[in-house]
Amino acid sequence: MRWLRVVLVLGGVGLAAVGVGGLLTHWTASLWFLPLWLAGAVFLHDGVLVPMTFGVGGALWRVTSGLAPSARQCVVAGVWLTALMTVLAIPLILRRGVVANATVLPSNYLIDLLWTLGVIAVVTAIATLVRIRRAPRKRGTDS
Amino acid sequence: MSSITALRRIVDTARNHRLSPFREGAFAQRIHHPRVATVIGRALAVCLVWCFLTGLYSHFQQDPASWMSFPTRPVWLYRVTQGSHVVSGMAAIPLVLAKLWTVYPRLFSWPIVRNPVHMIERGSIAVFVAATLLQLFMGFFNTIKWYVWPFSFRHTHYWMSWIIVGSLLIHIAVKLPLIHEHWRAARETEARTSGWSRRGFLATVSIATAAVVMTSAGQSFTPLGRVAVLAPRRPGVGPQGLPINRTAKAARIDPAAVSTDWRLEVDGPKPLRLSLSDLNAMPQTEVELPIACVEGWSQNARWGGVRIRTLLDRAGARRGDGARVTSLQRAGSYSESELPSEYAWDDDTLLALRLNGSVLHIDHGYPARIIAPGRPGVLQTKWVRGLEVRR
Repeated sequence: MRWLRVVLVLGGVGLAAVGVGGLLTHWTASLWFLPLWLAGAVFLHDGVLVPMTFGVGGALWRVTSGLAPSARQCVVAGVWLTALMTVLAIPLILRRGVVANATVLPSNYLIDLLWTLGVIAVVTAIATLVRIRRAPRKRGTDS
Repeated sequence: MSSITALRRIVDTARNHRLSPFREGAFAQRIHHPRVATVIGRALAVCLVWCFLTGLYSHFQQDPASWMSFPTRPVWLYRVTQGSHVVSGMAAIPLVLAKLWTVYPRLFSWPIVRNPVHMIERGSIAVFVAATLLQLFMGFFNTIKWYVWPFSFRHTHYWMSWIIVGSLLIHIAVKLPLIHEHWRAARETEARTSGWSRRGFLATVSIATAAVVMTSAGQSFTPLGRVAVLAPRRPGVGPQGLPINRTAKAARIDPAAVSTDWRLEVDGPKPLRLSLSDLNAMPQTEVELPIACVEGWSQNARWGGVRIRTLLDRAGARRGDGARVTSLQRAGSYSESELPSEYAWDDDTLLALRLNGSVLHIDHGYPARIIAPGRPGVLQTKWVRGLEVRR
């Protein structure tokens, strides 16, 4: 395993060097913004998005405290799936009609999103109900 | 002395305060576990490496080194490589979010830096995470043609991919013992408690990834076209039932230049000057070939026209010669393309005059366009003005 690790590190440094070298040799003034965008990506993810998920996740966990653990996970999973599909659809909704090419973003992505969220809600509800019925009827063990 | 005491107090608070993420036990251990990180991490690694390889293929198709030559069969090769490039990039979005969420507590490991090697390791992870997040964001936004960043998409996306795969290898090397230990699930069953189970978390991530793939793959995998709610293109939507990337208007095509006095100039040992009716009088070939865009969408279509090899033959070119294609297009960086000999002499490479049975729509390149098997859409030059034989 030691040799494999050495090879991986050397290969990794080599590949990364190709990328850094390429950026430096094809440098343009606008690339000065790249470090800023990289730092911004980390900040938005680590400093905003993840803390938000901990906050929302904690709240959801308390709200669903009456449910069996497996049913509880279903509800929270449904909420996360809703959030993910919404976040991914928002750029398409905002961008629709802006590009002067009728074959780019040809659909009504807001309606599509609402249908998607409807399907997620129904599937989540069914899965949750199934889990509630299957769960042993025992209360007071949840934290 | 007092400043040292004050510093110690600050550090102590950071380490032990009830609300501090640096506190021991600040995060639930079960799903922020190396086993979860290993399972999600290896799926993510597959996506990233696949993106890198298919991306390289696409890059060298457009910018080949002189010694490179490309296969012309299967004709759907580029359709698959580039379609899966975009789909695996989309799949990487929920995977990277779940992976980073799982290892988020590591961000607050204590001490923050143990030694120089540890510092380099953390630095490499910072580069890896930053570049991957930005790369996926830029790739996604490129598919909807939304360029919100000030630098060039293509250059940055290309060079960053090397940095990402390089730092991925370093990351795997650092974590190898941990990956090895958690490659298979531990034998002991999970203790039943009320929190998230590992199985439940992994199932959620799998479902989320499957949902993103299902709803975005339809722009290149036609059977899923009806549920392609996250795909910027829909199969069948466009003039003559086919999407387009650059309209005639965007390319600033002059309608006068494509009128009846348009002539195809073939520059070779025996130069040719052919009108549209001359071309229509030549032997015609019909082929079914996909148009496959660098932005991931693709669709099959029936093309009719004259084989490029017939034109090159008549112009006195020798087998093995390539061709440069010039266009009437006045805007955009693809007003010229190279047709290396393997494509130029292929039986399926046409100067297309018809699409799906009717004369080319102006947005599809009327009066004539190139269609070759297994090439990126940007190289299927539209509004062709001439061909130059290249030795």
